[in-house]
Amino acid sequence: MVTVTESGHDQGRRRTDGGDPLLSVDSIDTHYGESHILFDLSLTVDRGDVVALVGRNGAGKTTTIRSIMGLTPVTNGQIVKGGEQIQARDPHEIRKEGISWVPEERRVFSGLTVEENLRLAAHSGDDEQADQFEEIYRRFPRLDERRGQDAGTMSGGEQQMLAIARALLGPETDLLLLDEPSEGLAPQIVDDVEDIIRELNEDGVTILLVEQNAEMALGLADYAYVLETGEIVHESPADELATDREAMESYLGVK
Amino acid sequence: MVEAIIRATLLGLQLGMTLALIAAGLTLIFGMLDVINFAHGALFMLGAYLGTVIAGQLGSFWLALLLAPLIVGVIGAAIEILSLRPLYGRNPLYHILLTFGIAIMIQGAILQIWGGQSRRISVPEILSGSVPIGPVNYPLYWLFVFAFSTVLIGLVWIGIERSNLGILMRASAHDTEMVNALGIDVSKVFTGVFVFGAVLAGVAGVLLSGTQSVHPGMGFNVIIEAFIIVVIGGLGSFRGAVYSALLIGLVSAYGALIAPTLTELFLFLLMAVVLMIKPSGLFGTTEAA
Repeated sequence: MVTVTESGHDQGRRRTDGGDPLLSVDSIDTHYGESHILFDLSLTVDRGDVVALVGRNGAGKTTTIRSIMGLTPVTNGQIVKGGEQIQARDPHEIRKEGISWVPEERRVFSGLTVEENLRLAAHSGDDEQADQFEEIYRRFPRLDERRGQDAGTMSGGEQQMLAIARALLGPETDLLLLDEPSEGLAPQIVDDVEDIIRELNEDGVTILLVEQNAEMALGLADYAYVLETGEIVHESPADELATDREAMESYLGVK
Repeated sequence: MVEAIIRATLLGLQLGMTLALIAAGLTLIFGMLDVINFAHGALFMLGAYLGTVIAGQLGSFWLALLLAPLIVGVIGAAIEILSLRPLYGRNPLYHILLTFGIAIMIQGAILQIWGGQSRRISVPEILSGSVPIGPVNYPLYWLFVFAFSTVLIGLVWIGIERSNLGILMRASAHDTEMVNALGIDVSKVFTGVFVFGAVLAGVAGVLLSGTQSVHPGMGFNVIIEAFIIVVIGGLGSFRGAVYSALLIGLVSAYGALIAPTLTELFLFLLMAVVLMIKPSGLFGTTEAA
């Protein structure tokens, strides 16, 4: 029942139990300048799953996401999405492979209105985009009400919705990388964000979720990886990790 | 006295609007590419030389006004793609050294090709002569330069505020990495912005070659004024650059009226005062473009 894998070389490939891998991260190393951040890290995200990447502050969760998105290119190893190697590509090319990024602290374009943020993400005002727009506004009625508002003046929760909506427009998204979506939000709003993530997943979007809030992440996820100082130290189905008190306490400091 | 004031005001507005064409490119390039482009004055000068040469060879000011900025744009594309692009993300000092070197190269090339003597573009027949404005007889060409620059700046302003391209420019100035991650090839945006800035500088060069002499030192003269404008307006702010260019134009014109030898001093004083009161410039908040 308790699956605590020691740090080793064959992690991440363990989960080949009939899953359909959408994203495979294979033994990557990542550096920020001189400092070595990720060490031989491997993980797999199966199509249709929500996969949580949890761990303490500074463990390398954001760097993992940034490596996948091509923002902080890997120095070693490979990343395969839908059968294609993407680790050497530019972020805008990776976006066109169906991977979309919702960054830490949302990073909406303040100074641009909600509508302008979305128009930018859609790349154009094409007719076929019009349907996409209406669907987004249906999904996020709060954004519909605030089309003309400066994105920078909205609340954290609204900005989070905008950041997610922005990630869904433009090239089709089948893998969403969510970095700390609950950060700095009131508990009530965190519930809303949880609902949005769940609905998106039900609609067929595969999600890789990075969270400090392990409780929320594990509640949503099918499968979980625990990251510690740049290495995967544990992986298991999310509910197993959530009920494994020992692992929760030693890895995440949750009692 | 009234006459002199009216004349200085008209002159200041005209100079300000033309300087705005130069400063707009400089501030947009800084806002988006994070490059302090010392070659911008040289591109302006190149526009002036190409304009006078084309107008002289083809006998048409209008063709010169069309072709010279386009050629400057092509040269701008070459500069961005071949020399700036490999340096993005490095220490900004590299950009300063590089663009400063390019400015010197352009100036050297101009001296080699066209020599050191001053030139002037021949103003078209239809724009020669002057018109009475109140008690002042004002050269028609200078009015044309003011009107043309104003319309152009107005169009750019509307474009930045309204069009998808403008949204893209403002967003890139705010967060390039995020724009890239949305699937937009930011390197193309960079080239586009640099070329756009170069074309505007080229237009300003052709326009001013009919109001002042064209000589190999004009690039460095104008870059100093353009930098003062951009700093006062707030680095990276388009609106700020336009307002500040008008301010500088007027201060220069009135300054020349009061104490011609101290005009430059007035400009630096103005910059010092603005920076003391508002260190990020008049419009240099978090707002981009």
